[in-house]
This record gives sequence, structure tokens and C-alpha cells, in this order.
Amino acid sequence: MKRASLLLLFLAGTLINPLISLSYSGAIAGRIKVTKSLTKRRVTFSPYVQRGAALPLLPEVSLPVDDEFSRIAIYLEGPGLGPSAPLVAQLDQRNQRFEPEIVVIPVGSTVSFPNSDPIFHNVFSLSKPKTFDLGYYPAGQSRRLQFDRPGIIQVFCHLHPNMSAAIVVTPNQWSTRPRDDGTFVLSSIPPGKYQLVVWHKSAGFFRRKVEVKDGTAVSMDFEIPIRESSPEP
Amino acid sequence: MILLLRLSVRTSLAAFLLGMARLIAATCLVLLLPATYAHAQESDFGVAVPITFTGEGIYSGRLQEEDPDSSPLAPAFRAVLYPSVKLGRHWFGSATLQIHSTPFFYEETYEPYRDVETNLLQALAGYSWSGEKKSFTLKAGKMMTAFGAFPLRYDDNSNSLLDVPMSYGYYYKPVSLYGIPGIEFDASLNRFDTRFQLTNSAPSNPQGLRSDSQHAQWAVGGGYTIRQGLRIGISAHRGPYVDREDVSPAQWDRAADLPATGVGTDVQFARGRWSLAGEMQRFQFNKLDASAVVAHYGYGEVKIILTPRLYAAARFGYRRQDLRPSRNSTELTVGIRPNRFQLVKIGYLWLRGEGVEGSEYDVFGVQYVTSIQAISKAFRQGTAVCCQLPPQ
Repeated sequence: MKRASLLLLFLAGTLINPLISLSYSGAIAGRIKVTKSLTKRRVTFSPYVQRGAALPLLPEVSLPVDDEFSRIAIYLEGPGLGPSAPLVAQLDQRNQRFEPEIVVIPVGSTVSFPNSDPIFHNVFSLSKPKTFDLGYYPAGQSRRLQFDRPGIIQVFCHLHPNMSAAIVVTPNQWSTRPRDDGTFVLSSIPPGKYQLVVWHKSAGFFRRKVEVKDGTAVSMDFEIPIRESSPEP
Repeated sequence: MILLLRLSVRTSLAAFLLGMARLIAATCLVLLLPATYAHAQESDFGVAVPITFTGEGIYSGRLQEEDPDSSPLAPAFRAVLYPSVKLGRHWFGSATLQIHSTPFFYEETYEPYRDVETNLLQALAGYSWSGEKKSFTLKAGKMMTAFGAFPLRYDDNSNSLLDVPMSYGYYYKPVSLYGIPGIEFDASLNRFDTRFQLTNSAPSNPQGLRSDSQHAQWAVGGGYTIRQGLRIGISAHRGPYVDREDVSPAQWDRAADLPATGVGTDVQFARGRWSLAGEMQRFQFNKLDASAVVAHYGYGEVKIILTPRLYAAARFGYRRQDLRPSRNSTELTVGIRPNRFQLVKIGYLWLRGEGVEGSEYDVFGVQYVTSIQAISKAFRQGTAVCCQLPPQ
């Protein structure tokens, strides 16, 4: 809930800021177009089922496979973009899944990893910006980690290979997620030359150079995956 | 005494080398496939073929026991394919196909034969159901014995060490890791779990469906999860075990009634970076002369995660058996994870006991284990997303 509140505040700021800040800084607005389903449905099956206490029934409805926008993070890279205040986010282990699939935080932020399942998970990451192994801890307990280096941290569970999530640690405060219709806005950007980064959990990185001028809004659309004929700005 | 049925395809050295080359080529091809399976959504309908491939190097004096001029070093491989199908939330089918060169398992290192064996360890269909804090599963086909706990970790990725506990194996072991035809019912309620299995042959001597040595028998087990991460369990089995080939026709009727009995207890514990497991088992094999062979086996196992990429594990095991020398084994292993799909295990096994001098039966081994999701196809694919670009 805490993380959700922070996210809402951040989104609200992102929506309101362009109206009041375009006069002394620039903005980038655009839309993400996902041209095909990138997240495959798959089957996992364990031939050796662990014995133990009965597990609760998993929800019938799985996460929508076509909700590709929820697997996208957008952020800005470049000189002169200072770090922002760190956040506290949460990556829950619930129903043998990570919730949410993607956490976007600025560098220096902390992520808590509560276990909400009656079974053990063994959360780990071998990603370069942060390697960790949280070990085993029971339902109701949590572990916390601070992320001091920007980058993508892929998170998995040793015991349940179907569980995967990503923590996107952005180098500054200029980051956002696309809305339900794929549109996004980054506002209050100091004038300068930057690189706009769109990262999709399955498709990876998409980068474009962008120059932000004082008092203007740059329009920038992305197609994922990028078609070869897509013009570079 | 006990002759295990070896469901194997034995080939010549040339076939061994050819098989090795094919398997390595196939593995390389599979490794080149895009590793997309981490970023996907679970489906209830579909097929999957996870593969665990293991390359191994063994150094041991055991390899020179029959021929002192032979090399104490042996390369080996093991590939285990798990073709599975899910047909909704309840129905499933699963198989376990093992291809390995010999000697791969430590118990095979006493014999210098170089072969490639193919074994269908499991092939079953099942139905599972789960409700709030209760569940059951019904399985039919060829499956691992319900006796004991180790068979649930019988994968080189799940097994922290290189060898298996002393009571498990393929040759003259009280509990075979070959599957047994039968049916099994598993159920759990709150913190209790139980299982009941009816099979055509004993865990020590699995038989095929066309064998002359089939005998109906049972295995049961149950456990209680004291708290999350701590479970204790018990299991037992009983039934005829004698192979028709091992006795004269005149003795067959009597031999068919001679039972093998096994009882065991097991414990699993995990907390933080530590995990422990252990089993104690007693077996009794009744004989024609009214005597019985009694064997006691046990092991304790501990694993600690040292860093996200590094762990250490140890297993201490023993065997006390009539007519056979006692054995104590200690195995230490260090595991290194280069990445999420690969594991390198380096281990040393000390085997001591009556008649064992020095380090002649010790084994130094290195395993490279990689997990491959060669096929994972859902029958119901999600629809593509397509948004209109905003007007320019």
C-alpha cells in the first residue's frame, strides 16, 4: 500500500507538472506502441513436487498476457540530471508470483521483499548492478535491500523458476511508466541533450537521443519491437 | 541377491562417442535458443520439455580397481528430459527420460565400462485438485517410489552434492531410482501430507509390466509441517522382492511370498541461508532359509549459501548391513552459479569402512549443470496488443 501511494503521488505529479513547469523547462511526451505480444504464455511443470503443508488455491485468473505496458519503464539518461530523493518500494511474493512484475525506483531507494505465501521462496538476483540472495524466510516476514547503482536487476526465485520480476533503478527522478493507452510524459526536464530509454521486460532496451529546450515539449513515440523502417529522430 | 532390472540400451564405444557428440551438438543448439522463458506468463494448457544437462569429470582409484592400467579419470554426461503436458488446472502428464554415459553415478565407478544408457524413469498421467488448505493428486503410470524423501530432489540442479545418498541408486540398492509401474494417491490437509502407492514390484527391484517377477505391493508415507521450513516425515513399504531368475523353479512359489520391508523417517529444515535434510532407514529382506538380511542406512545433509553465486554443502552417510562391510561416507561440495541457468559443482567424497584402505575409494568430481527450457508452448496464446499512434 505504501508503495502504491507513492506511485500514485508520483504519477499525479507527472500529470500536473507539465502545465506549471513548461515555462522554465522542457518536457517529453509520447506514446508507446507495442506491435506484437512480447510476453509469451508458457507452461512450467515440476516433475518432483515438494511435500508439505497444503497450499492455498491459486487464483483462477492469471495476469493478462497482453498488458505489455505494465512491463515497460521509461527514463532519461544524461549529464546534469541529479539524483532524486530515494523511495521505499515493495516487491511482494504472493500466490507464487512476484507482485508487481516491475518496480521502478530512483537510485538509492529501498525495496522490501515480504513473503505473503505459506511456502518458502528463495529470492535472488545475479544482475550486475546488485547481486543478492535473500535466503529462506516464512510468511509474514520481509527483507529489505537498498539499490545504490542504476540498472536493471532481474529477480528470480530458486525454488519456483516461473517467478520473475525486475527492479529498474533509474539514475535520476525523470522516470515514468506508460498509461493504459501507452502515452507517457516526462516533465520539468532541464534543457539539454539526453537519451530517452524505454525498457521492456522481454524486449529489452530502446534508446533515442533527444534535445530538450526551454519551454518546449518534445514528442517522441516508440514502437516495440522497433521496425527497421522506423525513422530515428 | 537382488538383481535390478536394467532398462537400458547398451552400445559400443563407437556408439558412446557418437551419442556424446550428438548430445553436445544438440545441447549447443538448444543453448543458442533465445532464453525468453523467464519473461512469460503461466498457462494451464500446454507442453514443456525442461532439460537438465550435466557434464562431469570424475577422478578416483575406483576406476582402476578392475584394471590398474586404466585411467583414474573419467568424463561423463547426464541429460534428463522432463516432457510434460498440462491439460487444464487438473489434468497433467509427465515423463522423465534419462540419457547418461557410464560411469556417471559414483556407484558406477567401480566398473570401467563405457556405455550410453537411456532410461525412462517416469511416465505418468495424473489429476490434481487443491482447495483452501487441502489438496490431492492421483497418479498412474511409471513413477518414483513413494518411499523415502531423496527422490524428490533427484535432479542435478536440486541435488546440492554430486553423489546420491547411500541407500539410493540403480545397482543393488534398497531404493532404486528407476520408476515403478503403479498408482499413487497424495493428499494434504492443513499441515499434514500423506501418500499411498500400489506398485507391481519392490523399490529395491523395479520390474516392467511384462516381467515374470511382478508382485503387487504397497508403499506409504506421511509428514507433518511443524512450522514453515520444518517438516518431519515417515514412510514404509512392504512386498515381495525376489527376482524369478534368482531362484530355482521349485522355489519360486515360496520366493514369491518373501517380503522386503522398509521403514524410514526423514526431516527437512530451512531458514535463512541454511538448509538441512536427513533420513534414517531400516530394510529387511527375508530369505528362503528363513533368515533375513537387515540393513540400516542414514544420512544428514547441510547446505549454506555463502554468497549469491556460491554455496557449500556436506552430506554424512552410513550403511550398516548384514553380510556386507559397513561404510561411512562424507561428501563436501562447493557450488558456483555463473548465471541463473548454470551451476558448477566441485566435490570430494571420502568413503571409509571395513576393508577400505586410505583414499582408494574416494572420489573427486566436478559437475557442470545447465538447465534448458527447450520447449514451452502454451495452447492458448495471448492476443497481440496494437495501439494507434497519436495523430501527428
